[in-house]
Amino acid sequence: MSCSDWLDVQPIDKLNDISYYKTPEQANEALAATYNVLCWDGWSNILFYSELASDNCFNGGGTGDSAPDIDQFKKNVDMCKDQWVKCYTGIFRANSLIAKLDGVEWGKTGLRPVYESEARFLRAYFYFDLVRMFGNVPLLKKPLSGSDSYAIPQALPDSVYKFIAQDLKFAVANLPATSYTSISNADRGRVTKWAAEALLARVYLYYTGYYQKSDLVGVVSKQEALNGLEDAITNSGHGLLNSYASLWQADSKNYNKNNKEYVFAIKYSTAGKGDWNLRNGNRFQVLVSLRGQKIGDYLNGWGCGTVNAKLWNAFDANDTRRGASVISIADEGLDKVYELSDQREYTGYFWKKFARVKAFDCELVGGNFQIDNDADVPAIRYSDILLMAAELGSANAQKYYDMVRDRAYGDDKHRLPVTQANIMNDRYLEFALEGQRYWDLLRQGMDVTKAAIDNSSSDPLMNISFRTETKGLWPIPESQISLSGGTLKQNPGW
Amino acid sequence: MKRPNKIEPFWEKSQRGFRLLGVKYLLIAAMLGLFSIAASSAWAQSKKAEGTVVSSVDKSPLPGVNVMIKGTTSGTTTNAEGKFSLNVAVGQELVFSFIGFESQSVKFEGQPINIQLKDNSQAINEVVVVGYGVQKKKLVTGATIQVKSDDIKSTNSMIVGSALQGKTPGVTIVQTSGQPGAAPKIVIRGVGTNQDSGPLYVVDGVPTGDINFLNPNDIESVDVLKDAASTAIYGARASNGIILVTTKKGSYNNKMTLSYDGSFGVQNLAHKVQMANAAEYATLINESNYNVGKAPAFTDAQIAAFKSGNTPFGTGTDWQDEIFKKDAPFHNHVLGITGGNEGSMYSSSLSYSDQKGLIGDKSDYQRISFRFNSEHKVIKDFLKFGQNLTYTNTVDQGVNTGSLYNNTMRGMFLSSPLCPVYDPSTADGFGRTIYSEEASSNPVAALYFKNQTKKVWDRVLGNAYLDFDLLKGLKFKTTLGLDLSYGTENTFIPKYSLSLYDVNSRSRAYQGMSKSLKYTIENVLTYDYTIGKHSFKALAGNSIENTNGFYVNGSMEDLILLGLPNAVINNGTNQDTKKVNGSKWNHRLASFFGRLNYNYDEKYLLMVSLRRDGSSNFLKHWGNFTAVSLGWNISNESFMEGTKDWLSSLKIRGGWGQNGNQNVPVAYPYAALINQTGAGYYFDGGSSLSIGGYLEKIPNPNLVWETAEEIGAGLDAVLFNKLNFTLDFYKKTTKDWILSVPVPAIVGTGNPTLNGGDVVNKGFEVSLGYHDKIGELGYNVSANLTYNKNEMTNLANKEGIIAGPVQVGSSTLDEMYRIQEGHSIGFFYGLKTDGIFQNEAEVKSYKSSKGTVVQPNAKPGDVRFVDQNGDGVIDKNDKIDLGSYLPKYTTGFNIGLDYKRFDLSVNIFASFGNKIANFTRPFDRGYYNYSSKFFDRWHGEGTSNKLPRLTDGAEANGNWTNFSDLYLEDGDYVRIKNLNLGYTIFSPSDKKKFISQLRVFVSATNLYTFTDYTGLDPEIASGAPDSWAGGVDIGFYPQPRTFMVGLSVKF
Repeated sequence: MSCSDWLDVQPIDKLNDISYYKTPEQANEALAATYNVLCWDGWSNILFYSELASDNCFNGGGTGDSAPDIDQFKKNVDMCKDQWVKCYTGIFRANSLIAKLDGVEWGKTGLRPVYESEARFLRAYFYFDLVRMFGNVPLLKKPLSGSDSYAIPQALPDSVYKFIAQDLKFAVANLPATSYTSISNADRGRVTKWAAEALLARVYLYYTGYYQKSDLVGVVSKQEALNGLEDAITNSGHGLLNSYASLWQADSKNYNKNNKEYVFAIKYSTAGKGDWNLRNGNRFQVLVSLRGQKIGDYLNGWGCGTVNAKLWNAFDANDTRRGASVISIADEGLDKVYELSDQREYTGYFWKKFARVKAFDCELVGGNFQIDNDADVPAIRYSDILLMAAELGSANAQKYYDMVRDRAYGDDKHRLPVTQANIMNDRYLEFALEGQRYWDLLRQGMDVTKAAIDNSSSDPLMNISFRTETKGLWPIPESQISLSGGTLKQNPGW
Repeated sequence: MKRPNKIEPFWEKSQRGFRLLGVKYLLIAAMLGLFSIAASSAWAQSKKAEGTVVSSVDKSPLPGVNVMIKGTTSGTTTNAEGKFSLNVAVGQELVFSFIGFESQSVKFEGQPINIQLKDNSQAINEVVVVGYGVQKKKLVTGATIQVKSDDIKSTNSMIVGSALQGKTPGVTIVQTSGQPGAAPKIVIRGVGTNQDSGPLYVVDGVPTGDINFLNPNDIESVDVLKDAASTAIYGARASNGIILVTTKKGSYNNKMTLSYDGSFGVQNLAHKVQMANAAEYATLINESNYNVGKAPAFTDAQIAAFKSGNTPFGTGTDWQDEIFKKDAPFHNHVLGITGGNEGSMYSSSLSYSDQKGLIGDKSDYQRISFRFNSEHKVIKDFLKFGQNLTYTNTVDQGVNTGSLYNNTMRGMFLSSPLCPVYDPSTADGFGRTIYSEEASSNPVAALYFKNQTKKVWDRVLGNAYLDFDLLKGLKFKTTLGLDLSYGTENTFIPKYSLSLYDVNSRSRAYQGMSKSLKYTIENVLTYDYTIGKHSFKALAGNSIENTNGFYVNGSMEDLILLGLPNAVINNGTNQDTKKVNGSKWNHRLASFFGRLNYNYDEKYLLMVSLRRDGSSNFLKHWGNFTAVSLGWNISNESFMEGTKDWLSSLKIRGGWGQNGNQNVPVAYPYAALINQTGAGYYFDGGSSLSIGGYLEKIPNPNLVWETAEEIGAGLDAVLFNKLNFTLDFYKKTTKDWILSVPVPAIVGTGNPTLNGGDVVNKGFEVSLGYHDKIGELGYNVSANLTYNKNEMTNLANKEGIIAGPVQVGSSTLDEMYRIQEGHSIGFFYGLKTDGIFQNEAEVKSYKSSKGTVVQPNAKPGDVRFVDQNGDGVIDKNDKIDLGSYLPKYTTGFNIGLDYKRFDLSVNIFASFGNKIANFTRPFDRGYYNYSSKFFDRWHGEGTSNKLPRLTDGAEANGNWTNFSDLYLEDGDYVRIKNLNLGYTIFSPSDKKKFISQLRVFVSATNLYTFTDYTGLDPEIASGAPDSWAGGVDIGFYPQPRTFMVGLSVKF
């Protein structure tokens, strides 16, 4: 043994990328690591943040907490950095796998197109969040290496959307048309052809609305987007649950996280058991739960994102979606036991979707109440597919729209004609507090957005004025601008 | 404010008693053992030889000179008049030796012996320690400095590093914390790296990372190698300088001496920050609320009650009074034995130290150490065998400090005074704040419930060697070195509920262990050769170092037995919460080195060294490091004869060298590793985990060590044999920094580790020393000054910047320090302020050249920021260099006096030219308490032009969310570090039968500090999350003021 050999010290508990990405099992691990990033959040949860930015809720929290930022469209230190980091981490992991697919010994498994589709779907998912939030973002189609420059300028939104559309089209074309009923619970969190069709339509609607374009950058036409949805409606095996309330943990007796209406859900688990290094727990549930108290069926949290009374009032009293989406302290008879304490921006209304409830107390199974809750977050529900198909002008538009409203009211006596305005209003109610509202406003234009979001109140914290000069985009994180050496340019208005 | 009775749990009392008892018995047993050895050496009787020993320079009598009968272990020392008497057989030879003088031997002929010893205290014939050997100081061509045991001992410090402060020009030593056992940060000749800038330590030839576990009493000398010419022989680890530690050795033919040194002291807070009391606090909060348009939080009636003190918290809780302990004790005991006969020499010691902290009942540092050094002549004039071995056991129970969160010190400043310390009506007996907005915990409760960690370290450091005298001048030494570090840690986390955010609902035990074992094998061949006036000393050697380490730790919840002593994993009952981690690591280093010293008649000096190091940290293992230095002893020249009577010696020297830094911030920086932990997904949303795997970082196979290149020159002079003067200049350029720079997050995974960054440190060091006698008053005075300028000259990334982190001082603060070309490393980066807007008109009239109002959102009382780039808006482009945390000058001043049997020493340390960012009052929450500094805030036109109006920190102007010079204070200070007054009751001349020397002393440490800094203590090493930054005060454990008494006795 020469002296130089003696100096070659090898890692003892890690593989390197030369020996990795060889077997389909390792490819699946690389894929799982990409799904893992879907769970990364906390205060920076994108769904939660977009609800704060929308007209659905106020910042809330404690009187001693930092001042609201995104709620009031005010800049804070390194704002939105976590969201930025999360998306690019997911993109890196997807890119790493995609770049190594050729080296995997697939044999006769037939898994390659499936795994590639899943990776490309996830990449598109992260890019769509990024481009909606920040508008102008660097576009990385493969992982960066040590010799690359990291000062990559922002791409035109069109090229990002084009890339997203291509990824999703690939996934639609290459994922098997497996019906919901044929998928085992063990694979329930995986991306399906139906999820890809639905996300493609969502991207189509957002892009064509926000940017006022007639198609999705020449890659997907309105008809193609609709065709995908019709395919999903006909063939997916997914459907509406009878009870809207049973979609959420608060209806603890009927809730089933692997239900047929969740077309694509981010899956959470209590198995982290208090380990802050693991990120498989739902970390924003604690934010929206009642501040510091366990009353009724509800468990304690930080009381953030107090719900705007406007949302409660927008529902018809007979609409089952109202009581399933929002806790009204008075209507649920909690006003006698509720303690205001240092709750800020109190409205009398809190999140019911995703609220921590006693029947799903993670602390009973070894978890930490801040990080180990496990309400799944449905990124795409079947009702969304129905409403998008109606919006895109399906021949069955009225029928699809009726299905959603009939389920909401438990009868067919509350039907409305399928107009764009009615669809948008039902999207507001159907997806309340599910992270859709802000984007649904933006795609209707700045005027609609401002009219909806502006709020006047005697409480300066609830006095809100949407700043149209931002175009609804969020600030590029300051630290990232610094690190890019000024290559990244800040968005207007920030 | 009565303290409930049941606060201290029973287990702690019993445990403490048991531990002390054990240590006591250990000490008694050891003492008995040493006494029995001493008693066995007989007191020989023979004929009497008498005489006097004087100095050859001024013929003054020399007390304390060793007088030994050659070839035996019997002897004596001279008394205060320089006289001795000893029973000697006629014909035997007497050897006279004394530190600072040349030894002499005289045959006893039956007549009185009067001896003149030649003074070499002018450091001409002194020997200093250099890499892999020793060298006459006169022949040294590099920049080195030596601190002797007496100077270390006189500080009474328990930590070696701290004892060096103010004594080593060119070496910056700053205390990191006042916590017992905390090590200071030591930087030699400027911060040269963005990684750990601490030097390499070599203890008796064994390289190690730390010396603070050593008992300062065991140290014979500390030699600091400052320049590359001296350090290059240590190659790839030498770029931050080398500190060589030599522990005490015995000597051949020297009688056995048994010694005991003991001290006892008490420690107190030296300086308190005045905080607002309840009424003042309430008034300030109301003012802040008014300023931001909120209703007052407190009524006038409430404030009146606060003033009267008719509240559960009196006139307001003073958290500093509650948290800082009074008269925290410490004591220190060292037993030593040393001596030697013709064939063997030995030196051993046993020591025990216990220091309580200023904060918290549990804060404590204990150390037991045992040293055994010996050497034996196995084959006379051919082979010696020896070993140096130190075992240390430390037990450390500290409190959490340092970070923004979970920091005991911060709670002290941030918590409002509206909270009783104790309250019998609460479940845990601790009080709660009455102010509903306040979300922070009672800091005394937090101190009690948290901070329950005990760390125990066992260290064995030492070596064994064979030393061959092969031929005349040719020697070979082979050494096996050992550095073992074994640590355990136990943490108990009880259930508590201190505030909404500060809740722990389940008890948890954490238990961990780690071990690191390094062995070194070193072979060195030396050859000394003199022909005529040409002297050569050649050295060639090789060494290998292999370090293996591992750690395992785990935790479990829901404990059966509560308390820190029960903090073991198996005490947990909830299997679902069981966690375990473990790994191991290995580092290897192979080296070849050589050095040639040449001198002509001790006038012209030359040194050349070469080292080749191979390190396992890099894929490209090997690197070469060379150095050359020259010296000229001008005073040895014949043409200088005429100056002999005043210029005792004069030497100029200069050198150039290269060395390296092989530290890497992550393991295997060259490898593209896959991380398969913590990245999985639950596809079923249940408990079935699919493992995930991802590339954890961008690899860099081309990474190499950092290289420091240094050129320096110096001058050593002695005048009138009394005045020493040393001056050194240097320029050190560190290139190819190993950077784990934050890269844009678009990379999506861990940072690559890169080479890229050059920093230049330029400076000078000067020291002066003078010693003399006026009648019976002997005195010595010395002073030194260090100046260093640090400047980044190149950074490899595009914009030449390593941006610092945000949220360092508070959760809403922007970037506050960075590394940037053309600036000092870690300089404070922020907005410059220009007073306070006194009224609306001033806001309106602050306009840009385009006529726009620069700060349209400002209100009267807000800060006016300087629009540096003149673009009419205040933003990050207006941020500038606001100064450095690194002092420009540090200086030490030492005085020693002795009169008859009294001795006095004073030690002063001062530091100038640095800034401190004071974050003890952050502005991310409105309810934090204010220090009295804020009584001078703006509260109406003309009230202040310095501190803005009070707000909750969310005002649009960003008075405190933009980092600016508002946070910065001057960090200058002058500290009377040490004052020692001793009295010698018995000296050897008293010829007491069973005692040869007894000295008692009183001493004060950290006696007084002159500073304008408003925080607790201006000596702040870091506080910043990056090792290259500092001067960040986010709550810092202050150094105590200590008074102690002690005694030193020799038998």
